[in-house]
Amino acid sequence: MTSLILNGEQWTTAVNPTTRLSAALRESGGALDVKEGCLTGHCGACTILLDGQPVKSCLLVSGQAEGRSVISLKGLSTDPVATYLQESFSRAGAVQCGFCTPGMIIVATALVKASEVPLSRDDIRAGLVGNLCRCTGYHKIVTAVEEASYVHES
Amino acid sequence: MLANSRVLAADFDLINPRSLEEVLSLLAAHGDRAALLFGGTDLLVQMKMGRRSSEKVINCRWLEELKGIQEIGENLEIGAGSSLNQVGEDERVRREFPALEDAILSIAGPAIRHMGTIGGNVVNASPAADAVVALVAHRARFRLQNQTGTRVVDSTEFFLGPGKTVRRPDEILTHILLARPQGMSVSGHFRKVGRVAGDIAKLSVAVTAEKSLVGVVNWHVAMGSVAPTPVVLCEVEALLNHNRPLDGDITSAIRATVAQSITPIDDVRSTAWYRKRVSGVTVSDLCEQVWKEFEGGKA
Amino acid sequence: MPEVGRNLPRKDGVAKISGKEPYSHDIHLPNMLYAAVYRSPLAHVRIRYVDTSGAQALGAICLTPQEVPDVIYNERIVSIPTKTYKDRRVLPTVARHVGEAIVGVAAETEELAIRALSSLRIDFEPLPSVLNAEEALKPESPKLYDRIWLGEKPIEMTGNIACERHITEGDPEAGFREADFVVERRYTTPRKYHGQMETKAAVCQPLPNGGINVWATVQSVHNVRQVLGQIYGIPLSKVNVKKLSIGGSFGSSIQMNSIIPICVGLALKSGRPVKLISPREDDMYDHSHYQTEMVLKVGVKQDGTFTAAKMNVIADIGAHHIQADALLGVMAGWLASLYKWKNFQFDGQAVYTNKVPGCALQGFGNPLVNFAVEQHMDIIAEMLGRDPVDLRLQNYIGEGDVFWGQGPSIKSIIESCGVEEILREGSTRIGWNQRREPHEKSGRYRRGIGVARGFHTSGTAGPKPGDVIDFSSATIKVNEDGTVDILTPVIDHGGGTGEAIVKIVADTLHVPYTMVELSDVDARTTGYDVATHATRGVYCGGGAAAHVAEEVRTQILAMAGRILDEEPSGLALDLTAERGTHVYVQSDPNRFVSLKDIAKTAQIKSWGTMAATGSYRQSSAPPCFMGHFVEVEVDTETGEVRVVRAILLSDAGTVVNPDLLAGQLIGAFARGIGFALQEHTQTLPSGTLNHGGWLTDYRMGTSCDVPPPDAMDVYFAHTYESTGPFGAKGVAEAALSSVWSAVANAIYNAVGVRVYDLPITPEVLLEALSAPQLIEA
Repeated sequence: MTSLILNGEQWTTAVNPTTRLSAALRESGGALDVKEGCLTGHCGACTILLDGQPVKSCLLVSGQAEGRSVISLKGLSTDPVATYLQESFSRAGAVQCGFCTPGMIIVATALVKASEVPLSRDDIRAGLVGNLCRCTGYHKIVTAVEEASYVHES
Repeated sequence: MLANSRVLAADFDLINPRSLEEVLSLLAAHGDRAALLFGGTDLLVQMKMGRRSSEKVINCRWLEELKGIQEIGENLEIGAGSSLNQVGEDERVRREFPALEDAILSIAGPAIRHMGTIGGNVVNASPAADAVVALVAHRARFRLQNQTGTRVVDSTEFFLGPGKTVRRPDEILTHILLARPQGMSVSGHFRKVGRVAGDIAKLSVAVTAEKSLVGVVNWHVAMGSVAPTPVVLCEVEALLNHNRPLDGDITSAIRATVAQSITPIDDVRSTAWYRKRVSGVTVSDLCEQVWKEFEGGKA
Repeated sequence: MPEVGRNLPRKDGVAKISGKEPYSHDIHLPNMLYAAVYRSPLAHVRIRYVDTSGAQALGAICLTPQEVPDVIYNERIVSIPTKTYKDRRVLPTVARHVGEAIVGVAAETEELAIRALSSLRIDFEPLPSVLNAEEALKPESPKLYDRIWLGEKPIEMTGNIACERHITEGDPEAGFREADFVVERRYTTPRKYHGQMETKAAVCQPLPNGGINVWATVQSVHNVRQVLGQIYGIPLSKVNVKKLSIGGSFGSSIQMNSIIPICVGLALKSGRPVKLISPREDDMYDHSHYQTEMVLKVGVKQDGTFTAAKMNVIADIGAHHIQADALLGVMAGWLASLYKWKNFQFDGQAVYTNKVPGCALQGFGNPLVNFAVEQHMDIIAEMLGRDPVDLRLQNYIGEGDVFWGQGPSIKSIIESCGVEEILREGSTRIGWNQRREPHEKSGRYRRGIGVARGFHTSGTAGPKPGDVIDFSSATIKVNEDGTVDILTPVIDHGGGTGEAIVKIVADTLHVPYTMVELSDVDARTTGYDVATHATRGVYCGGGAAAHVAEEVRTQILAMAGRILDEEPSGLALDLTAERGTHVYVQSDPNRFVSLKDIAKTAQIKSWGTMAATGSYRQSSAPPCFMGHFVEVEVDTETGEVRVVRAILLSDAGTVVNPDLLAGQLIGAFARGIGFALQEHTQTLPSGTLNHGGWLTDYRMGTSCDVPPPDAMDVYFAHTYESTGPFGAKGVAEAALSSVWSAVANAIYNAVGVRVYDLPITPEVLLEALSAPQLIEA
C-alpha cells in the first residue's frame, strides 16, 4: 500500500509500489490529466508537481512517492498562475492536439513561480526544454508563458 | 521479462530506509545484489530497457543526511543526494565552480534536474555523464562510506569504465568534496555537443582555470563521451599551464593534442571521426573563452 | 461581423487546457482487460507454433495468428477497391519485419499482460531477409511475398517490386535534345518517424448483439469501421467507431493502425472490453515514413524555360503495402505541378524490404519531391546566372494552369494563386537582394539565405470520380432555443478543423460562433467522410458542412415564411446585435422573427425540426501554396547549423482560423528543421532500429531547437478560392512542403556545399566541408 496526498486529499493505493507513478495516478488515482507519451522521461507529458517541484512521473515508482504531496493539473484549478496560463494558452493558440498541454502547464506554472522577475523568452525556452510538443513548434507556448509571467510579477 | 518501457523488467524489492545507518547495514548485507536509487532518471530507464537489474533497490532519495551543501574546512561538501537543481542554483557553486553549474544546466530539463541527484550522476558512471566531466575538471574528490568507515577517492581515479567505479558493493557515495579556490578568481565552462538541446552528449568538455597574481594558472581540461571513462587531458593542461597568452599556435597545438588523447567510437549518436575533429575545436573554444574572461579584467 | 477569419477560443480548448479532454488512452470501461502485443524479434520469420500455456496460466487471453480471420486486406481504403493492393492480415503467419505484431494478449492488469507476453513460447523458423531496396531488387534477393492482391485479383510475386508507375506526357527525350543544359542529380530521403505525442491506442467493447464499440487513434472513423466490419464479418450497423481527439498524427493513422484489429480480436474472444495502448517502442516499430531515392533530370534553355523533366524514384516501403501505389502516383503529380516542364516522365518503383512499413507523413511525398526540385532550381539558377526567385517566378505553375492534384486522375485548373505575392513579400522581408554569394563569405561562422516554394492539394476531389474516394457528409440541426448542432465525422488532428467547420456553418446560418457546437459523434451518427488527410478538412469537410447548412437555411426561411405569412423568396436571414439571428421581410424590414422564436414555434405547433443531412463532393482540388525564406548560420568547424531567421508565407485562400493557421505553419517548420538536420531512423543488419525504439536516440526538436519567436515571421497571402467555403482552401501539408529544401538551399548559400541526402547532420556537413577540393582561399 502506498499513501500520499493527491491534489490535496489523502489517497491510498494498493498498486504495486514498483508500478510507475504515472500509471498509478491514472489508473487508480483517477488523474487522467497526467498523460503518458514515452515512459522514459523524454517527452514530459507526465510532468506533475512532487512536493511542489516538477518531476516526470513516468520515472518514479509509486513507492517513492510515499507520504509526499502530488499535484496534477486538476489540483491547480484554483492556482492563480496555472489558471492564468490556461487562459493565455487558450487565447494564444498554444494548444493544438493538446496532448502535451497538461505537462506543459505544470512545468510553466513552476517556472513562473520560481522566478522573482518576469521571465525572458530565453529563460522560458530553457525551462520548457524537457517538454516536447510536436504540433505547435513552441512559439505560441513561449509567448503565452511570457504573458503569464509578466502578469504574475506585476 | 521482455524489456519494455511500461513495467520494470525484473522483480525487485523496493526498500525505503529511513537513515544512512540503515542504508549502510543493508549494503553490508546485500551490497552485491542491491542498487542505490536516488533520482531514478538513469537507473529506472536502464531497468526498463533491461540493461540493469537488481534484486533489491534501496531508495535513498529522501535521506536528509545525504543532502545539502556545506562549507567545511577548505572544501565545499555537497551531499550526494542533493538534487542537480539544488547544486546548480547554489551561489557558491556558481561563483567558485562555474563549469559545474554550466554542466548541470545542460542536463535535460528542469524536471529531470529536480529528480536527478549529483551522486546518481557520479555513481552511474555513464561515459556521457555531464556533471561528472565538470567535477573531474574541478578535481573533485568523492567520499565513500561503509559500516567500517570512510575513504576519499580522487575523481580522476574513481571511474573504471562504463557503469563501473571503484565503489565497493558495501559502500555508498556520501559527499562530493570540492576544494575551494583560496582567494583566486575562477573561470570555468562546460560545453556539450548534442543533437538537440538537453541531449545526451556526443562529446563534452569542461575547462577551468584560476587567476593568481602571477597570471592564469591551474588549467584543468576534462572530456566526456570520448572514452570509456571521463578523460583528463593532461597534455593539453601542460600546454596551457605554461602561462603564455593564448594564441593561434597554441590553439592549433591544443587541437592536435586533443585528437591524440581520446579514443572515441562510432555509435548511434555520432562518429569517431566527428568526435575527434570537434573535440579539438570545442576544447580550444572553451580555453579561449576562459582566457578572454580573465583578459577582460575579471580578476 | 463574420466568424470566419476571427481568432476565437477552440471548442475543445477548455477541456484540453484542463486535462479533461479524453483521448483513446483515457477511455476506461468496467471489467476492462489490458492488452499487450508480442512483436517479432527477427526481420523475416515463419511462425510455426505459439505455445500460450504459460500466458494462460497467468489468466491471460491470447490471440494468435491461427485464430484471426483468414482475411487479407489493406488497412487503408482511401483508394477505390480495384486500385488497392492487399497483403495484410490481423496477425501474420510470417512476420516480415522486426517489430511486426505476432501475438496479442489481454490480462487483468498491464503488468500481467506483459508477464504473459514474456511467457509465450514461439516456434520460429527464421527466413533470409533483405534490408535495402537495392538488394531487394536483385533477382537472387529473398522474396517477402509469394502472392499479394490488387483488389480481388491475386498477383503472383516474382520479386519484391510491390508496384510501379510509369507516366509520360509529351516527348521528354525530344525535350532533352532541345535543351541547352541538362542537369541531373540523385537525392535521397531517409526513413523517419512521425513522432506524434499520443502513441497508437484502441479500446474495444464487445456488445451483446455481436457488435463492437471502438475508441481509437484514427484519422477516419468510417474507414476503420468498414475494415473492421469486413475483417470480422460484422454488419456495419453493429460496428461503431467513436470520434474523439487524437494526440497528433501527421499521416500515421490514415490507415487503421495494426493494433486496432488485434484489440478487437481480443475483445471478441474474451467477451470483455479490452484496452491496448502501444508503448512508444512498439509505436516506433509500427509505422515510419517512406524512404526514397530520387534521380531528377531537367532540361533547360539558356533563357530559363524548361524543356523536359524526368524523375526516377525507388521507394523502400518496408514490409507492407499501405499506400505505395498512391504514393508513386502523387509523387508524379507533385512533380508535374511545381513548374512548367513542357515534357515530363515519371518512373517509380515501390520495393518491399524487411523493415518497418512506411506510410504517409505530412505531405505524402510532396516534401520529398520538393527536396529534389527546389535544390535543382537553385543549381540551375546558378548555372544560368539567374536569380533563384526570378527563375521560379518565370516557371511556376499557377493561375489558369493545369494542376495535377494528387496524381494523373485528379486534374483541375488553378483558380486562386498567391505564389507571386509569396515570393515577392518573402524576398522583401528576408532582405533577398542583400544576399551574397558563398564565395564572398569567410570566417568560421557563415550565414546564408535560401528560398524554396511548395504547395499541396486541398483534398482529392474533382469533377468525376477517380482512383481516390473523396466526399464528406454533415448533419446540421437547429435546436429549440436557436442554437445549432453540427454532426460531422471529420477528425481534427489539433489544427483547428473543427473550429473552421463551426465558423463556416455559423456564417452560413448567421448564428454566432458561441451558439454553434460540435456534437459528440461516431460512425453510426454521421454520414461518410473518407478521412482527414490530403489537407481536405476545411476545403472538403467544411465544404460539405457549408452545403448542408444551405439546406438548413432554406428550411429556416420556409418556417419563417409560415410565421410571417410571406413567400420564403422574399425573406432574408441575418444577424444583428439588437435582434440576434433573425429572418426579416426584405420589402418591410421591420417585420421579422428571431431564429429562436422560429424554432420554438416549430416545436410548439408540432411543425418539426429544422435539420438537414447530406453528402457533398468538391469538384476541384485547388492547390494551397507555400514559401519559405530561411537564414541559417553554419559553424564551419563543427558542421552545426542553426536557423537564425525564417519567413513562412502561405496561400490558403480565406484564412478561417488565423492563429491556428500560424500555429500550423510554425509547427510544421519546427518539424521540418528536425527532419532536415537530424531526424532519421536506420535499420541495423539485425533488422532492429538503430535507436531501438527509444526516444533517447530518436531525438525530436525541443523549445530550444527552433528559432525564437521574434526570429520567425508568418504571412498570409490575400487570395480567394471561389470553390471553397467562404473562399478557403487548406494549408496543412503545404506547411511542411518546402522547409527542408529552403534549409538545404540556405546551407549552400552559406558555405557553397550542397548536400543531396537528408538529414544534413553536422557529421555529414563537416565531412562535406572537409573534402579536399573545398579547402581554398
